[in-house]
Amino acid sequence: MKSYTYSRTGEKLYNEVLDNGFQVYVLPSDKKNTFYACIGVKYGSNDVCFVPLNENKFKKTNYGVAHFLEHLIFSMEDGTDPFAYFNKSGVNVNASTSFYATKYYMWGTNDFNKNLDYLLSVVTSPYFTNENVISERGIINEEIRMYEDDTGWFIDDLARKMIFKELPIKEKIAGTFDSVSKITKEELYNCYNTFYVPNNMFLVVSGNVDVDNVLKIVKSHKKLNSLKPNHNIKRKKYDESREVSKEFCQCKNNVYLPKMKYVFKIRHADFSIKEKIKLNMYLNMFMTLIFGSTSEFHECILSENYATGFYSECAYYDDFSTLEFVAETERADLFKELVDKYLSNIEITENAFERIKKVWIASEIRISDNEDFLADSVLDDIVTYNKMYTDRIDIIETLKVKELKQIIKELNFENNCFILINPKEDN
Amino acid sequence: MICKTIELETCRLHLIKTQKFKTIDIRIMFSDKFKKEEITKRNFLLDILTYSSKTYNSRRELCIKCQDLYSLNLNSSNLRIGNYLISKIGISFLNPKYTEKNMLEKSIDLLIDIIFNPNVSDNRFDSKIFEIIKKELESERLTVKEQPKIYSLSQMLKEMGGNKPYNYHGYCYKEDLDALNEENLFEFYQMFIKNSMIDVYVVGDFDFEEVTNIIRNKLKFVKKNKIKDNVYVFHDLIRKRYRRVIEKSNFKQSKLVIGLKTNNLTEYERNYVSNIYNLILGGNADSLLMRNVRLKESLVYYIFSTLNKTDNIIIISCGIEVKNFEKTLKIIKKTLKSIKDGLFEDDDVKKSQMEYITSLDTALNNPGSIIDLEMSKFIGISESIEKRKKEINRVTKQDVINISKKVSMDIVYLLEGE
Repeated sequence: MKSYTYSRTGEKLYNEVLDNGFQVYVLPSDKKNTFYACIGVKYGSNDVCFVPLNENKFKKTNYGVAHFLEHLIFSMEDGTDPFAYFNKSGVNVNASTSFYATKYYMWGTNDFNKNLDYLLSVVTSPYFTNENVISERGIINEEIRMYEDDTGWFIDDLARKMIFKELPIKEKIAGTFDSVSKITKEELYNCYNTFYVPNNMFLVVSGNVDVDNVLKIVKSHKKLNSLKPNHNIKRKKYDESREVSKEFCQCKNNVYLPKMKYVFKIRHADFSIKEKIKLNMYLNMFMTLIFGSTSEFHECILSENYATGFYSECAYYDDFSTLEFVAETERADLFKELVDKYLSNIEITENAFERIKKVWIASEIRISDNEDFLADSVLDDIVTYNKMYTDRIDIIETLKVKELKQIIKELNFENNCFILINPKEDN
Repeated sequence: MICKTIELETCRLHLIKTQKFKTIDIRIMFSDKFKKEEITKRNFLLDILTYSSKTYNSRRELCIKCQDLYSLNLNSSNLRIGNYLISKIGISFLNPKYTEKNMLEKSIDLLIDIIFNPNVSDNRFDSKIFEIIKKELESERLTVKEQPKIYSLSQMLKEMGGNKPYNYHGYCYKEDLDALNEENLFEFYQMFIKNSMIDVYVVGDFDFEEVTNIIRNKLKFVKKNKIKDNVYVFHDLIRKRYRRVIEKSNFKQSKLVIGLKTNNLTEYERNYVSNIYNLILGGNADSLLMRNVRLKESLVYYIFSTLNKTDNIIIISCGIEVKNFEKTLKIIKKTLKSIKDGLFEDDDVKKSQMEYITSLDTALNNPGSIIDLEMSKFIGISESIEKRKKEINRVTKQDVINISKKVSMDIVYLLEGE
């Protein structure tokens, strides 16, 4: 077993790997009564083209399979309802699917041992039938409908479709009514067998738990330990270009004030810095300094009344990042012009740079207050960077203005798209 | 965790000392009796107070100051608890152990500046900033209609009628917003500071005496007595038959929101049994509603019930396809009746008790929810955690059956989708 200590804050993280490649991470805490456990699978909505287990050719699946699978994992062959099982101990359980991962998690106070054992059983015992596929379809369609009514989701989904030409993240995580209607139990098994393999899954546990006890439960779980690794997971590599798929879109929706989104597509390969976490930090630093709450830009938007409800952020995908601006505004053209103005004349001061470093360090200390948040960041790190960082604060301290300026030089703002959503006439 | 309440000459100070957190959280609560027109005024006031101050007289200046204080988090919100309106202004900052020794006092100084030194000249708020906030609140008001879950809930509550505080949503009303200007908002500010009941909560690892002295010397409020009005809202009207309200919309999904009234509950029923009833009905992923509407019939993605015990209300919400409205309603009605008929297990009671206890334990992991727990104890709507854990376990299946007979459907509201 390996152990790591978080720099500055001192929390301990323990890591053990089973013979079949299943990774276990534990963050014990003596400050709380509750526990949290999450199984992560490195399989998300982006993984729609891959070589299925024991085959040798790439095969394309329908959009939305990873999400469908996340729902149907809770069907058990013996007819028991996992929600009822966890609930017997007052334990909560839920799951989520993102572009790159699926998560199954529980939190509670009672009966940790049997519930962890059961969570491992739920995820390792697929049971898909024609009947349960059909009945889950109705539920998923309602979920899709719910998100279609959410303006934020609507605009995000539309933006990804305009930014990316090839990468499957351009599609909705849950798929569409059409793609969902085509998903079969065979397809679900095919994906499950390829990706739900021990060397592609991991467990993170935190809270009021004992490390040895967690390992004992994991090591004595027969089904999990009997699984064989798949050392041949091959995902299709896409040749995604720097250019966006569509530069402008104007449409009408259920909004009462116009909404806009302005997005820049940034290719990681264009930067001289190769360390992913640092590149991500610098891009965030750039956005915070030039467009964050203490920027001139921000003050100008407010004082000129250019927009209400606006924010900017940096989203990180596998080989790309996006710099995004979202606003509720009747003066979208002026908002856009102002963004362009600040991008064409970027000024960074050492003082502000150091202040933001201080803010980030403070934020890491806050996160470390709750081991459940640390557990989530372990999970996100593994999915995003394929490793975890217990030394984030040290990394933040090494950030330098000079390096940021180099990154700014390498930034290319030519590839962007702009979306404007107007109210329907009857709104 | 050690809790102390100290009656200072200027305010009531609630100190909660715990080594669980690396932060110190301070929250000032301004409470008063509910008045509809104060919803908008309080929203405006909190936004303008936390936007800038006389010392840090732009948004940017104030944000830079917060960042300099090791990313101090300044927060504010309004809430209604039964017949009370409560405004909170708070700060959360790293314990000086992790930063610099004088950060406790400096952080409190900023909070004081925000509250007592607003961006005002000649008895009026700064006009430019006033306009910025007004525009933001106006946008917020308009865009509520874009959010079908929130909109349908507030429409249903309005339909419940009876001129009760629960008829009113928490965002701004157009007529009240239009009536505000830089001067009358300042008048309201003065009254707000003078007339509210003030409670200060502090959570973290600090020295009792040091914090008490700083608060005593710096927070110069005029102390008010406890609000006399009962916090609970009781209904004047219990409908024999529920009323149906259907509103058309352009949304793809229809929202079904059902308002239930509880009536004549005993204190024990209100504090404990109603929680168990709600958890069994629709309070979690294994509730009767989830089983009957989602698991068996695949009609919804989400369906849940929420208990609002100070309003004596329970609300069922779900998103459906419009063609499934009657079918879903029928199953919900059947589910409500099944509880009256005792068609659930002792086990359902037991697991709900455990879940209730888990939610209390989870709340103790967060400074903000610790303050909420202490506050609800203080205003008399709940007891100590230890007592709550003990009392909840006394609830029996028969108690749940008994309370189910005191629950009646009041409004069935459908925001009809395409």
